[in-house]
Amino acid sequence: MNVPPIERIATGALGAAALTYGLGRRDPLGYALAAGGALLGLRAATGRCPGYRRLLASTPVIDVSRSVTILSSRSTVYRVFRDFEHLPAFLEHVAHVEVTGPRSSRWTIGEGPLSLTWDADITEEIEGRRLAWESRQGGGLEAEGALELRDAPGDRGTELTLQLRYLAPGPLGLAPFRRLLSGMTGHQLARELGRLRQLLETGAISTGARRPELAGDKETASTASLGVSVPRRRQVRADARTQLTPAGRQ
Amino acid sequence: MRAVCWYGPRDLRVQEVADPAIVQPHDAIVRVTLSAICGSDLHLYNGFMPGMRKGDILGHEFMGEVIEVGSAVEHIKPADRVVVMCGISCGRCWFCKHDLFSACDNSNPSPSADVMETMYGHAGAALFGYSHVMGGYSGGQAELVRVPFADVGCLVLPAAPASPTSPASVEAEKVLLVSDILPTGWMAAESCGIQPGDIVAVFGCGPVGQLSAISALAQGAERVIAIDRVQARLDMAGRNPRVTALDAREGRLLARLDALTGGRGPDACIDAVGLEADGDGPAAIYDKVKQKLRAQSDRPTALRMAIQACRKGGTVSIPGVYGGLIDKFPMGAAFGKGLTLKMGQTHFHRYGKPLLDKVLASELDPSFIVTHRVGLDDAPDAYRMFNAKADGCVKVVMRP
Repeated sequence: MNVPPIERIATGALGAAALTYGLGRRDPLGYALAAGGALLGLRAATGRCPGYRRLLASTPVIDVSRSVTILSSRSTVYRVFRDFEHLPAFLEHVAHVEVTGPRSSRWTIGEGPLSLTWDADITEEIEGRRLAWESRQGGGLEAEGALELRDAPGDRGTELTLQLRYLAPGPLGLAPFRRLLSGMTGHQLARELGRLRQLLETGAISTGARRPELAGDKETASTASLGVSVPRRRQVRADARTQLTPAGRQ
Repeated sequence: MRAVCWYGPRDLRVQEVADPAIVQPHDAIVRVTLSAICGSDLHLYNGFMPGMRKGDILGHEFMGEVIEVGSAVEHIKPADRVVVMCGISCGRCWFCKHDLFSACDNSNPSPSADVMETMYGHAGAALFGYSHVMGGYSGGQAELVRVPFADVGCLVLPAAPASPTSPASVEAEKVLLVSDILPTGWMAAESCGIQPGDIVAVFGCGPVGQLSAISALAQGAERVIAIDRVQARLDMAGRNPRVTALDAREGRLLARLDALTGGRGPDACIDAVGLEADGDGPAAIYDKVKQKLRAQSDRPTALRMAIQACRKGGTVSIPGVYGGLIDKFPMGAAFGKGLTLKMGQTHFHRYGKPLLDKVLASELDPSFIVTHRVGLDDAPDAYRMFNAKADGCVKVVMRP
C-alpha cells in the first residue's frame, strides 16, 4: 500500500464520477473516461499505485559510510560531533546545524528556497564511543547518522566510522533532494572526513588555492570552528633533519 | 606576476596572472629566484597526467626568498633564502611522523584525489604544480609562489654563499637540485641497499639517472653501469671514471650487462625512466601502440629490462614515475630470481637537509647536469627542447 488514506478517498470519488459520467455519454470518449475511472477506483480500493511505486523505487537512497584514522584522542573527536553545530565546518554538504535541545537539532542542506530542513533527535549515545541520530517523521528529509569511535592500534590515534543515510520523504521532495545531494558519494564523505582530519591534525583545511578568494568559504575555517581546543602538535620539519640514515621504517 | 601556464598538451603560455597571497596561517609567499624543469613535468607537457586544467601553473623545483609568512609560521621569516621541497607534506600526520612524507594524509585536499583513491586505493601527498589530482597547488615556474606548510618544507640557506670562491649563481644551481632530483636520485640508490662490491645499473641517464649514479657511488657502489639511448646523456654519465656508459640502441643489452658483471647481472637496477620509455623491437612497438590506443597508460620498456637484467636476489629500485596500468610485466622473472622491488615518490623531506649540507660542504655536486639556463619567457621553447632531448639538453634552469 503506497497511497495515503486521504488520497485514496479523493481518488475513489474522482474514479466513481468519471465512471458514471463516462458510461452515461455512450460514445468512445465516454468509454475511455469510464475505463480511466475504473482504474482510479482500483487504485482507491487497493491503495496501491504502480506509478508511485516506480517513482519511489527510483528515489535515490543515499547510504554512505567511510572510516578514517585521525591523530587525535577519542574524547576530542567525540566532543566535535556531540555539539552538532560544529559539523558544517568540515561536512561540506551540510549548510547549517542548530542545536535546539539537549538531544535535538535542526539541520539544513542547501540555501534559500531550494534548501531542505529537518529536525533530528539523538537515538543512541555511548559517551566517547557511539552516537546515532535520526530525523523526526514528517520533516523535509529522512536522515540518519551514526558515528563510531575506536582507539586505533599503536600510535595511530582514533578510528572513526561515519554512516549517513538520506531518503526523500515523498515524490515532492525528489527535485531538491536530487539537486542538493546527488554529489553525496562515498568519495565525498571521505573528502569531508579528510577535512576533519586536516583541522584536527594541522589546524587548518588544506587547499591548493593560490589566493583566499579562490578557496571556498569553508576552506578558511580553523580548528576554533570545531569548538574544541586541540593541543598544538610538534611538526616534523625538513630543515631540522640532520642524518641521512633513515630513522623511520622504509 | 608572470608564470608558466598549461593550456593543453604541448601548449604552454607565459602569462600575467594574479599574485599568490597567504591563504592559511601555515603559508609563506616566496619570490622565486631560480626554478627548473623536471623530467616529470614532461608527463604534464605531453598530456599523460589527468586532472590538468587550463591556466594551471607548472613547476615543482624552485628556490627563492621569503617575502611574507602566515601567523602560524615560526621557523622561517621574510628575507630568508630558501629551497622548497617539491612535495607538500603537513609534518603532523602519522605518515609524516614516520618519515613517509610522500604519503602525507593532509596535503592533498583535491576533489580529484578521488581519481587517485579509485585507482590506487588511497591518495598520496600533494606536489607543487602537478595537476589537480596532486592537490591543485600552483607551481614555481613563476615569479611568486604560495608555499603551504612553510615551516615543514622550506630549507633555509646560509645568509651568504658558503664559499667565497663559489659565486651565488653557481651555488644556487647546486642547491636548487636539492628540491627534488638530488633526493630522488639519493633515495633511488638508498633503496638498492648497496653493499661493498655491488655493481648498480642505472636505466636512463636523464637528471634522475645521473644523480642516482653519483648517489650510488657515494653510497659505496663498486661501479655504475649507465644505460641510455641519447649520446649526449651517455657522454655526460661516462665522464665519471667509475661509470660505464652503455648505449641501448646497440642492442643485446642483457648480454652486454652480463658480460660486464661476470655473468651475474647487476646487483641492483634503477629504473630512472618511467612511463614514457623508448625501446627497440616488437615489445617496444607493442607498448607504443597500446599507449596510443589508450589500452595501457604506461610504457614499461625500461622496467622490464631492469627486472630481466638484475642478478638473483637483487633489488630493482624504481624512481621513474608510473601512473596507471602496465602490460606484460615479467612477474615470473621477478619471482623466480627472488627480486626485491622498491619504488615510489621520494620522501623529499627525509633527505633535503642532509643533502643540502653535503652540497654546501662540496661533498656532492649535482650541478654538472645543468645544460641550459634560460629566462621564464623562454619556457615554451625550453620544454620543447627538453622533450625532444635536443641540443644535449639534460636539465634546464630558469630565472624569472
